Amino acid sequence: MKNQNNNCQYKEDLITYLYGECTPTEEYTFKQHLQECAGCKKEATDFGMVRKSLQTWQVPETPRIVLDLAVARPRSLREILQELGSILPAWFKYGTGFASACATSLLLLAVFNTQIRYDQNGFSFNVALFGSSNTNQTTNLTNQRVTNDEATQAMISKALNEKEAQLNQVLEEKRTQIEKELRKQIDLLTGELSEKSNNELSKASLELKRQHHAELEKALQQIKRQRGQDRTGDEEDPFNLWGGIDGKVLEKAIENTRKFDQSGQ
Amino acid sequence: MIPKGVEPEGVEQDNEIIERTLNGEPEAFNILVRRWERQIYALAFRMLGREEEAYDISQETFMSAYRNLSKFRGEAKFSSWLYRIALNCCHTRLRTHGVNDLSLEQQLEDRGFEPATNAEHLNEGLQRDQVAGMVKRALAGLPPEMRQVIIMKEYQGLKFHEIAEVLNIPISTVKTRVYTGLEQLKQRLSHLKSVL
Ligand SMILES: [Zn+2]
Repeated sequence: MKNQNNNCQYKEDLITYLYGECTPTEEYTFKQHLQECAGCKKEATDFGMVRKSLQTWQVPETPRIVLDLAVARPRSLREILQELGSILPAWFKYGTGFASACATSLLLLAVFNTQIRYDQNGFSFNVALFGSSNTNQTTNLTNQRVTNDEATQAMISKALNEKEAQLNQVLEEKRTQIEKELRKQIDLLTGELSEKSNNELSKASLELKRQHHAELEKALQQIKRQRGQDRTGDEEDPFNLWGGIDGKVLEKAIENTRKFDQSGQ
Repeated sequence: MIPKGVEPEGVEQDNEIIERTLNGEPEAFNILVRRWERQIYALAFRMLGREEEAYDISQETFMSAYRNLSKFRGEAKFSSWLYRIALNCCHTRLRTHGVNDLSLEQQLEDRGFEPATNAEHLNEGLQRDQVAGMVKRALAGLPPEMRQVIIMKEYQGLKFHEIAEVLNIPISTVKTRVYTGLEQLKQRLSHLKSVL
């Protein structure tokens, strides 16, 4: 099928006109143009036909979308802070402005296995991605003492941003790697299952392979779901990770915070 | 006079419902689900072509919006944000399925279907359903980036600037994609000319 393109420079105007989004002046100008441009005139007619045919495809009746809102209650920052308030040390609860600003950061840092210590000199923290066992991925971002609140805040926010980017990158790499591996295995199995007849494969091994296949598919779905959740929402939000942290991770984070706090005393 | 794009008085605004939801009234979110489920379902259905998947995506979209509600800043319209989430979900599904098409089954079906549906078979008796089937396939053949703008424009009835907001791209890009999309559909549906 050869594409007989209309090479007129008024393409955008044609589209604006076709969907009735012209200002009166634009409309007047374009109508004038239509009089003298055979290309646009033909395109306008053809597109009209296409649009008419598009309307034949109707959506089936919409089923009612049911959500289990109880399982995934959105947590407001205030609620999270309240919860934090009950487990964090006393110093943390004083000075509301600063505390609120870094409560969020601290919890996130705790999630990233961050050691936070506080003493009379202020506090220090140490960030290790995925724990110190894996030296390649361990990053000693900062290990310094600060007394100035603003500097601390800036430091936390910087560390947080860098950590988040790194974490996301590592996560994505891991996912891609796992996904690739899963795909390979699935393709292999799919090929085997479709090529070999029931006679060639014993019934038992066929069933086993089918099961394995289903498991692999399930694992792949999990990866997809995970990625889907991470990709949604506002990407520019520095606290983008809130959406991705579920109850269990949060609990672990809180527990970590408590542990670090105890070890610091 | 009611300004354009603003709900009439008495109808609670999306933003007010969001606030209620965040302030400890989670079930208020269901009002938003009821308000937007048709649009989201339709969008997902036309992006993916299957009812079960459209339902899954709709559920995923609203759940994700619900979980991330505190991140919605109200700079864009709630519906634009919702559309964006829904499209992200659709793209993730399309990408991970590894096909640009509606489904593998559909592709196979197409192979047997397409050669037979040329002009000689298309006569006055051609049913609306058949035309719809061809439209569905023609749309499925477009790259998802193009398909989504055609769907938002043709079926969701969004303005160009609204589509630009959803996709975070310039209005002129939206128009170019619509143009190219229609151009490609025209080629794919050229055999229908005689019946329309
Ligand atoms: Zn022209």
